[in-house]
Amino acid sequence: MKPTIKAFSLFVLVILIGLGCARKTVTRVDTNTDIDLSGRWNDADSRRVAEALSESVIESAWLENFTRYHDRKPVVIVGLMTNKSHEHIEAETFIKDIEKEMIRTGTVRVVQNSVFREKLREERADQQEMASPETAKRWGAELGADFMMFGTINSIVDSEGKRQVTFYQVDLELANLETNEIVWLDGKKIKKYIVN
Amino acid sequence: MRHIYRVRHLLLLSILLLCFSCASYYQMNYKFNRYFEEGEMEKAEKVLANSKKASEGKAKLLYHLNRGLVASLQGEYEESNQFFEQAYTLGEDLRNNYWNTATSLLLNPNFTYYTGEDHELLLIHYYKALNFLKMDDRQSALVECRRLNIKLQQLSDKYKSNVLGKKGKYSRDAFVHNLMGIIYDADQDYNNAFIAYRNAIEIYQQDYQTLFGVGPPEQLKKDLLRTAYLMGFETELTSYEKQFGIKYQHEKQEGGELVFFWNNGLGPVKDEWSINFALVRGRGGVVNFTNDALGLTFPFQLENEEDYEKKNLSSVEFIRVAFPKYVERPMLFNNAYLLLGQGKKITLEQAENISEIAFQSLQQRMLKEFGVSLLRVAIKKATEYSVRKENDDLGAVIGLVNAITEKADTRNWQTIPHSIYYGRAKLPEGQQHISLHMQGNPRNGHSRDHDFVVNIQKGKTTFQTFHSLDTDYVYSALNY
Repeated sequence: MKPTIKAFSLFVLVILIGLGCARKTVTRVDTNTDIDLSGRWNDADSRRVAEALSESVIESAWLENFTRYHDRKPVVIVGLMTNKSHEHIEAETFIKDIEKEMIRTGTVRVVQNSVFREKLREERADQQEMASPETAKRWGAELGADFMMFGTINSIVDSEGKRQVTFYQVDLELANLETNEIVWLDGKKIKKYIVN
Repeated sequence: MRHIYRVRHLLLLSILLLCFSCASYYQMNYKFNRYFEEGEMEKAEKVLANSKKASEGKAKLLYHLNRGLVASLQGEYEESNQFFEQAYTLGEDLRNNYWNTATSLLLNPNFTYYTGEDHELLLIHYYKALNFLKMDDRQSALVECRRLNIKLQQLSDKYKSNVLGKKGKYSRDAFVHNLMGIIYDADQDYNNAFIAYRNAIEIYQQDYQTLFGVGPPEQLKKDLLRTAYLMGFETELTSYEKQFGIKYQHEKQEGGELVFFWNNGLGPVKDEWSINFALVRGRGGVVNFTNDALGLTFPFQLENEEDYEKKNLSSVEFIRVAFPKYVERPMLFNNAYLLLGQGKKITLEQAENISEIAFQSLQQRMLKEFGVSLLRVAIKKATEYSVRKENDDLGAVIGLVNAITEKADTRNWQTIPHSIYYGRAKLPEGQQHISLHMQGNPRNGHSRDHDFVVNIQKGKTTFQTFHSLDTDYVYSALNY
């Protein structure tokens, strides 16, 4: 029966080598690890943008100028992020990191954007009827913002055969709500070279 | 002793014959298919519900897909999404183990789990998203959009390294991008809608036009211009206006909108076809499977040369190898419009030809199919030869068993439409009566109307779907 066994071994070997069907495995990794799989926008890019831009916005001259002139911290609101890239990019991941950095360093005060302000107002309106008068929050005591942050995400894709270069540019700007003056403007560029 | 062997062999053969019917997947589920095609959804559902084996078998993905679709057609959107969610999880997690793969190689591919064709896995989200939208759950519909995006990216990565070395592959789905745009649009996320519409236009123009003869729908062009306008993307608006030859005129929205999806006909079914290969022995134990008519040669290493010569197995043999193929179910109706009242008509445009996509997908991986099928036959032959050396009779029996069990994988999602058409209409607020008028080609002269009542809300998008199951084909189970 030797040849039969031989044939069977060959058969098993062919299957194992040629058609190995791996099981799905999941491993937890540090959130700061850069893992690039597809070459598209990913968490590492979002983190880089957040780090670069939050550092820039906190260390720029506008902050010191404002604090010295008004003797208080500026109030900032994050407005519209416009995505003009070719991908559906979640801007919230780095916007939240920038907000967190501003609040953490205590240099800037941040207020909610229009969507969440509406939610808060709904809650306040509800309190006027449902909450006890001592605890119900007043109307007209909202913190008015001094500056509004806007942003755009752009991308350029250049490809030839199996090679591709993807260029992302995230620009953020801070405008004075009273005067429309742009007081800070910075961007982060990310360029990726992908070979398939 | 020899006599006992023969009896045993015959017994084994009979058992195997009973186990392996030559019916295709369509034929094996004939009862369900018949009820479904006749629109008898309750009966079709019952057939499925009673087949416990199917819900746990190797084709359980198809079971859940069919149950999801049948429930959706009955208006049971929540139940439908539960089945589709299970199908989605199966599509993500189903992995064939070594045993399945080994058995499929030794016998036939139906011993592996059916893990779904690319376009089928995308369609799960189409149905799920629409079910959510009908239940007015936009957030959940958007989750399906995100999943679609991931799936689309996986699809384009899968076909990046080009096996056939030809351009023009189904690696991007224009309709799905368009659908994502429509859902983002309904959520008033015009930015994401714009990106999705723009990607859809590009794919229709670059891929779909040449591969399937489906260009960008006029409605998509209008939607792209509108979202560009709403986002204040003036450069893009002007550029697309020029490209499409349309001057965009913004209309203030007074009532609501209706997006109508017409799922037309039935997608193709898989059948089997066989090719005869000549087994030509080469040097050093190499055996070539050749088919001169198709210009195909696949070499395989079987055993060492001496063994063949000793057993006189060097002569040319002919073997049959089974491959899957699609059989189209042509549409009975090939155009339709919506009648909105006051004589206003909205023509529904073809956005996706699923049938063509199915054919294209199979063609794209045909070389791989050939390879796997031939490897299967090569292994069967190797086993047969080895046994023959020990016992000629047993070897002959194995040869016969191999021939009987040779079968292609004919499983596919057979309840999806042939093509998807759609249209967008502005309608006043409140309950509106609309009528769908479907027409066949001049040859068959068929036409049919279907009336609907839709509830339009101010500033909102209402979704309505209709699946016409008619096909222009007098078919019987024997055809598949």
